[in-house]
Amino acid sequence: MKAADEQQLILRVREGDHEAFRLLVERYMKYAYNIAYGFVGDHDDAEDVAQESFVKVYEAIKSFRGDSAFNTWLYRIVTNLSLNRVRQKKISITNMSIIENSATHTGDFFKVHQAEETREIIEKALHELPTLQRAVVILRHINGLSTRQVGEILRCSEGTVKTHLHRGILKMRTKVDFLKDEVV
Amino acid sequence: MIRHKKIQIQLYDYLQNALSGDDKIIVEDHLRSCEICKRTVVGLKDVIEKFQCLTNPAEERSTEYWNNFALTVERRILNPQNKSISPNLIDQLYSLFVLNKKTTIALSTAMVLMLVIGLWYMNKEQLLKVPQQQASVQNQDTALVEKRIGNYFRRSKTLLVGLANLELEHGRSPDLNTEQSVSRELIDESRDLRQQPIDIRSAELMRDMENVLVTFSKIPPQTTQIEFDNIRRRIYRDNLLFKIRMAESAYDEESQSRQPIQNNRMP
Repeated sequence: MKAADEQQLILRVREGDHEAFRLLVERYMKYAYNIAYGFVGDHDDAEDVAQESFVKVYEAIKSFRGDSAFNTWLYRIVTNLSLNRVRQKKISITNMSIIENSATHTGDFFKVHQAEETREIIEKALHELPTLQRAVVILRHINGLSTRQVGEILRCSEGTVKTHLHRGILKMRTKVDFLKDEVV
Repeated sequence: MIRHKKIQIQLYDYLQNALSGDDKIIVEDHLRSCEICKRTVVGLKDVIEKFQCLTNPAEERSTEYWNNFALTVERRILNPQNKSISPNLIDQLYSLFVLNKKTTIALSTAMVLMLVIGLWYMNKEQLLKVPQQQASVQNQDTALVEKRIGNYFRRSKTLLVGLANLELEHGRSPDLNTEQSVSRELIDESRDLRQQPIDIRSAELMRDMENVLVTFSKIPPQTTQIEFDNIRRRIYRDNLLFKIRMAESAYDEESQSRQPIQNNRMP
């Protein structure tokens, strides 16, 4: 979709065109869902956060001035709502981790495919990062956004994004090694 | 060391092929000689490669799900209560108190402040009550002292009138046992009352009266007419009976009206 077409869609949505809004949702729903999932790590929560984000977009689209790209604005909303959801669900995530950790000691873990094992370790390491580091890693490496766009979403400079990426990934490396040792 | 730190910051960009030609050559030169940076690159690369293992969560959902997604969003816009997940009130309260540290700290602080203010207010009430109670007790004490002073003046008047009217038989010693006994009681009462916070003029009158009564109470049984007359002359000279009567009437009025004692109540 060209930028001009997107602008037209936004104008139509502002005028109350539901069809235009549906097109916008269909255009970005999977991206929004993936970003939300990266933070919350659960399909039901990811669905709820992604849908809630589009509701917010619909409610606030009249105040969207176009200072940034529409998708940057949308991803910022998704990120903020996801972080709120993570904060709300912190206890249950911790409880879940305890259950998962106990499962790893049962020996069943070794039966799981190696790729699956790596995925679980990476997800665990990712969710233990500090909020900003986790956000930049998710947006950059899970959702494939550019460092510039990540900076626009999180309202920080590209340099800051790279610093957080560098530190976050190195922390993940240490965590991954630790988790591997724990499994062995 | 400065160069090493500068290179460290550029390692992520190096792995992402985001460095210019010159910077890339500098980093590669450094990597040949620096084991720390070499290990960092290996670590970064290892994790970044592992990100490929992560699946695309959106692809795990069916086509039908995505076909209905926009429709569900529209329903939520039309009916804001129609949410996929609606945490109940208990969950919301639980997350408010257990998860939100700032809210918990703020609420705890507010409760402690309210408790402190409440205690302070109660103490203030108590502090206000104590002086009132003290004043009440003091008023009761004052009324009792006033009553005793009134009695003292009444008995003194009776004694003085008795002494003034006493007619002695010529050549015989008068029997003054009863009068002297009353005098001693009045002396004791006077001394005790003057220890109390009474008005100055009453205290002065009591002292004058006491001086006379002390002399009178010391008169021996076989006293002469002359000695007794000296006492009576002293009473007349000091105008004691008149002063005692006035003081008695002042205290009678006082006890009737229950007004506080004034320093100028005496004539």
